[in-house]
Amino acid sequence: MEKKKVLTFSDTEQIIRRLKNEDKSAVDDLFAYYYPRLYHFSKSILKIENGIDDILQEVFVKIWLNRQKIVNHETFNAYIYTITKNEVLNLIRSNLRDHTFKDQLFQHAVAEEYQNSLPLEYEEIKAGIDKIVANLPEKRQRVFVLSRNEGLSNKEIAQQLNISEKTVEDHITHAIRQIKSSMKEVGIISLLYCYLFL
Amino acid sequence: MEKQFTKYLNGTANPEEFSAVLEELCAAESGNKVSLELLKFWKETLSAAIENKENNQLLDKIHHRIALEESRKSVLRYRLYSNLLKVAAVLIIGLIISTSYFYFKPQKQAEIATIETVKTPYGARTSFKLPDGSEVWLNSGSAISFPHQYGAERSVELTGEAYFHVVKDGKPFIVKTSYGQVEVKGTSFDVRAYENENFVTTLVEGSVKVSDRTNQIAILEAGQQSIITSENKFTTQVVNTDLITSWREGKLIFVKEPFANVARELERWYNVKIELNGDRLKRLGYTGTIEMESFSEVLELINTTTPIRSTFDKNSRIFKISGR
Repeated sequence: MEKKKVLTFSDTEQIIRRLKNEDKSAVDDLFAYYYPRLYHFSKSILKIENGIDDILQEVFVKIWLNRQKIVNHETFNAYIYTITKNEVLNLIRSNLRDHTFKDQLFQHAVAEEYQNSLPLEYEEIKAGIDKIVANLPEKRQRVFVLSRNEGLSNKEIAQQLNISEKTVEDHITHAIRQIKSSMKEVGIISLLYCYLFL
Repeated sequence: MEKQFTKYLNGTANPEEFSAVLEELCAAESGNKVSLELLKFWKETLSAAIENKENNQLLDKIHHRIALEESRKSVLRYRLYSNLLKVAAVLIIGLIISTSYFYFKPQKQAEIATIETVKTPYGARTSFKLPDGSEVWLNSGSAISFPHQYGAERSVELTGEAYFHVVKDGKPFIVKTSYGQVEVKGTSFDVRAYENENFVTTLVEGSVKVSDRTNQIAILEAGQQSIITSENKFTTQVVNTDLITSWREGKLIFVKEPFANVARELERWYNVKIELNGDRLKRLGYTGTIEMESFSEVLELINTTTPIRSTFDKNSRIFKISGR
């Protein structure tokens, strides 16, 4: 079967039939379509690639072992989603006490301006950032707010403001640089403050 | 949560949002907010243009694991069989000895027309082939009976809802229900004959003859639907057949459907009990598509577009829904 962007209802029905007829090549077709998607899904949540292939191996083996229980297209899609989701969440749960794991998650899920920040309270940093953002040039400020407050992706921002994705990235990089350098000053002052008065 | 989760995915969350998402992920059970977001993200991923990614090494590993699991299974099966064989050997020897004492009289077996019945409980759907090769999709809470061998006509008895794809054959194909019957030659159509509801036949292609208990007859063309009410009121109309038959693909599509009907459909689909409070709510039109959500996710979905409040009574196991 040629690789398709979207697996139609009848494609899936055909694959299910082949699975039930003990046709192992159906696993190859499933893999070709679902592997990139399951990988993207898992990586977006787990942030680190380590362990994803182990999870997905488990998913495909489980599908094969339970092939006779698959009823139709609907249960099949729900089934793939449910096993993958559960495996991903289990991995997060069992690794959360591991500090390097949590640090890595933090690094990939949290915006750059909060990375490697000085020993300040979150509230202080947030207030500091807000103040600096308010003084950014108008366009840069809009890009930054759309990204950090509205949660839009760079692509979505580029579309909304009718500028290139590269420009969006530049605005954000500059904004972060500005924030970080200003924060350093604030940080040193507040550290001094601690030393002098506490 | 929606914004927080998207920001987590995009890598633009702030530390507070990060902790909140992580906490929800760890506590995730079906129905909470983050699992709704996960499902939404999964659906987006399914239909998005994802860059192709190959990993033949992993695919090999998977085939290897599968082969391993299979051989383990067949070893188990072999052990089971070899034990069964020993038992069977003993039984057969006993049988040979005992039959040798009796006079063996050949008997002609009477041909019995066995009737088979396939039933789906609430919450389940199935599809299968009839003896003549016609295909049937059976919706939740339905039952269909058919003889193992057809006589002069191919007839089946139906309660509930089924979609038929009938192969052409010299004999007519007849669906009998408590409300009346539908007769066809070779076509695709949907019959709905749930207890205490209208008797509805929807024709996707070909032609069918619908008759009710009082022998009123209608010949339907493709895209037409006939409705017979409990008072034997007979109407036909043109419909979008995709909407009517979407349940086969695991989708429930409602277009301005009174909430009372939606609730009844959900009861069958999810095997739950729903109690609606207030006439206004029952008449409220609901529009939406339900695909592979769990029931609690569906409630939340409805909640976002329709002003309802739902509570679950643990003792009676009934979902009580009232207007807000």
